[in-house]
This record gives sequence, C-alpha cells and structure tokens, in this order.
Amino acid sequence: MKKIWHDQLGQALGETALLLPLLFLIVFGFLQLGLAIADKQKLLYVTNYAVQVGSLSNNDLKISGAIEEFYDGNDITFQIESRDGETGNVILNTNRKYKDILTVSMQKPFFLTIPFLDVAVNDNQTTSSAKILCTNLTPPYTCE
Amino acid sequence: MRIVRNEDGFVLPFVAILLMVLFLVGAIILDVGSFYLRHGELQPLAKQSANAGILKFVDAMEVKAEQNKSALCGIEEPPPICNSEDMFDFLTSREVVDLVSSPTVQENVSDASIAFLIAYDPQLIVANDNILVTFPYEYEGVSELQMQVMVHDVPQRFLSGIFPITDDEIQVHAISYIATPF
Repeated sequence: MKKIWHDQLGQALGETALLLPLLFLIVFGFLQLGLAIADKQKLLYVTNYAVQVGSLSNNDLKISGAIEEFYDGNDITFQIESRDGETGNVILNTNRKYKDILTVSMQKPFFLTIPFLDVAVNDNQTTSSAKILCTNLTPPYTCE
Repeated sequence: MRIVRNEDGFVLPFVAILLMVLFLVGAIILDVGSFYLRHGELQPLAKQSANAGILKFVDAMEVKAEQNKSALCGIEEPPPICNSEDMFDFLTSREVVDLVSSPTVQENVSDASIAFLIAYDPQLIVANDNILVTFPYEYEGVSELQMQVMVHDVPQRFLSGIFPITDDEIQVHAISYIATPF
C-alpha cells in the first residue's frame, strides 16, 4: 500500500487531466468576455449612429434603416423614445420636432460561442440621446 | 538539499500562482473593456450636450430676432424683408456679439449643456464637477460661434488601487458651432 502511494509513475498525466478542464474553462471564459465586450462596443456604436441619423432626419424609418445597416437578424430589439425639449416630458414620436430629445435604446442577447449550442447568457443594452437638429417645423417634422 | 528536490505537493502552489495570474489577466481584460465602453458612451454624449448648449444660444438669437422683427414689421406697410423666415435677416453682427458676451446667455448655454449631460448619461454617474463647458470657445482663429464641452470620468475598475496603469481617467471633449452669415 505504501509503495503504491509513493509511486509517481503517470503522476503528470493525472495532474494534467485534472487541471486541463479548469484551464480550458478559464481561457474559454476570457475569450467569451472579450467577445461580449466587443459585441457591446459594436452595439454602442450602432446606437450612437442611429441617434445621429435620427437627430438630423427626425425620421423613425431612417433610424431603423440605420440599425438594419449593421444588424439584419431578429435578435436585435430597439425602442425610440421622444421627450419635449423644454419640459423633458415624454411625447409621441410623431410629435417630435426641432429641439426635442430623441433617445434610442438597443438590446441584443449575447450568445456563448459554443459549437452546436446557442446559449444566450446576457442582454447587452445601450442607450444614446440627442437633440433634434432637423429644423422642419411643419408636420411630419422630418428632414431628408 | 533534499527538501528542494522533493516534488511532493508542488502542484497546489503552482496551480494557486497560475490561477492568480490568470485572474489578473481576466481583470485587465475587464478593466480595459469597461474603459473603452465608457469612452464610447461619453464621446457622443459630450457632442450631443454641446449641440444642446448651442441650441440654447440659438434660442437667445431667435428671441432677439423676433423682437427686432416685431419692431421693424409692426407697421402698416412693412418692408419686403419682413416675409423672411431667416432670423439672421433681423440680427446684426453686433447684436450676436453682444449675446455671446452676455453673462446670462453664457450661463443659460452652459446650464443647458450640463443638464443634458447629467440627464442623458446612460449610467447616470456624471456629476457637475466632471464637466467643463467653455462658451465662447476660440479654436485656431475660426470665427464661428463655438462651444467646447469637456467631460472626465473614472470608470469602474477591478484593479483599482493595485496597478496604477489602470488608474487613468477618461477625458473626452467635443466642439459644436453655429456658422453665421456675418
């Protein structure tokens, strides 16, 4: 019994077998973390771009068009909110005009990159706001 | 000598050190990632807040132009210029300069910009002390009416206080301007 316990044959193999899954999990986790951050960075860029388009055009169709330039899948959800430029109260999007405030919020689930397995672990969310710079003061208050 | 050569139980400290190094790498990834994400939020926010401030100045110009228009056109046979919708037709360059120099207007512009930044920061953590608004802002002799907004912020960090390398604060600045016909 004592001899078996002190026998070091195959020790490295055993330890490697024990540690490899742990190391793999950690390295894989870092990879996912990096991908999640990159994913959110892209979502943030698109949100800012959509708000900029909305600020200049004051047109919801152009905002959704700007988003679709980057994402055409079903995973993306977004909301357009309008607020009065003076009071800050929420108003109808159709009543939004020059100097009012446009806010675009976007959500996109982040999927783990595991082959054959789509696991959504988290919703990346971004928000961006801007004043409307389109100066058309007649309904529907949009600019080209 | 025998103790040094004895390899019994070396795996545990080795793994402990390795794990610490790996988690450090993970923390650096998170820190750098959150730094860039926050920068990505603040840069457009500063730009939009500069726009909000400059729109407040447009408000002041519109009020002045409206006053001038009423004085000029409130007669029986107003001159043809009264049909114009362009506010600059009813403003002089002197009046615009006076508005820029007015402390009240400057304060309104600054307040509007700061209020926008604080209200529409996605994380709602930017405070008054983190914002510096300069209006009017002169940049390389450009004659347009300009304002500059500077925002600094310290993002949340896992390695805060341990490694000075991640102690950098984010600083963004944005300029907005009105091109006048004068």
